[in-house]
Amino acid sequence: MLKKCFFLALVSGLSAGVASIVYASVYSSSMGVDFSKIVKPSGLVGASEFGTLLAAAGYFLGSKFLKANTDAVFNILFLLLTFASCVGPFATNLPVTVSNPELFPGYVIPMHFFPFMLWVVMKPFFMKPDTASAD
Amino acid sequence: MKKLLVPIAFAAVMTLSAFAAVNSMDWRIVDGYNIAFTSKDPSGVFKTMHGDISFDPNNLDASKFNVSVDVNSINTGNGMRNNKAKGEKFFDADKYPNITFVSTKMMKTPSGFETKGTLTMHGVQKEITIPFTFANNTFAGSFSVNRLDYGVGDDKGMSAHVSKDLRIDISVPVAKK
Repeated sequence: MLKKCFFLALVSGLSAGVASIVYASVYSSSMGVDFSKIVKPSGLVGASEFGTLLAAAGYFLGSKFLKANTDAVFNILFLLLTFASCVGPFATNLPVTVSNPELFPGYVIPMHFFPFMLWVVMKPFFMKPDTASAD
Repeated sequence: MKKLLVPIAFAAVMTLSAFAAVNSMDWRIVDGYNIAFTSKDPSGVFKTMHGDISFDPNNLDASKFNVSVDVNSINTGNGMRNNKAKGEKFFDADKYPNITFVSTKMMKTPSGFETKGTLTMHGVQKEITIPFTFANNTFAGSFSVNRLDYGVGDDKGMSAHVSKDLRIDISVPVAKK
């Protein structure tokens, strides 16, 4: 279980990182802004990996207590935490040399959702659907 | 006829040289200027300025600053805070789009120069003195303003957390016109 959680976190984190890099590139070119010095591509992958590894630890610990309800509770909790994390970009102070800081939340907030989305998408490849909850 | 030509030529040369002297005092603002404000909270920059600068260290009576800063170019590094600063409660950029300084007097000081003039911000005019230096074709100066003197925000509620005194640091490179 722990091994599956770890690999799910690794793959979904990496996928979320790649999705973030693609989104960052599209956003930057279409909006004419450059936040690459604030958020580096390696940072995007690192942050995504950190998020999913943290989620994996939470999922593993939660499964010990929640049993068949793990997925339902975990998904709600993961989504709520993702929403809560969106406050951060609004409060971030960028260097004054960076133009258009008002476009920064639109740049990073969608990225906050990628780890959750990729976790949900990738999970069936690593863990079989919970038969207990299906009954 | 020859006798007439000499004084005319002399007068022409003198007139032209006088114009040349006046022109050498006029400066245009070039890229790389910095208008920064610093306080406990917030700090930031104004990114756009323009104006007329006439300055001759040897003829301060004929020197004059008439500069204007675009309020909408404020950048505190945070989009929400920028919008708040430009809003009605603070600078009210729609109504007062510029902060202007027009000098009335220039003086030499031991450390450089000093200019007295009128600072207009948020529609309020105040006489202020700005010490400055001029070296390597760059004007540099620092002074402080109290935002409440100009009616920029108030001292109630959340606005009370915004520093009242702001230090302004200006660096303006110029080139001769």
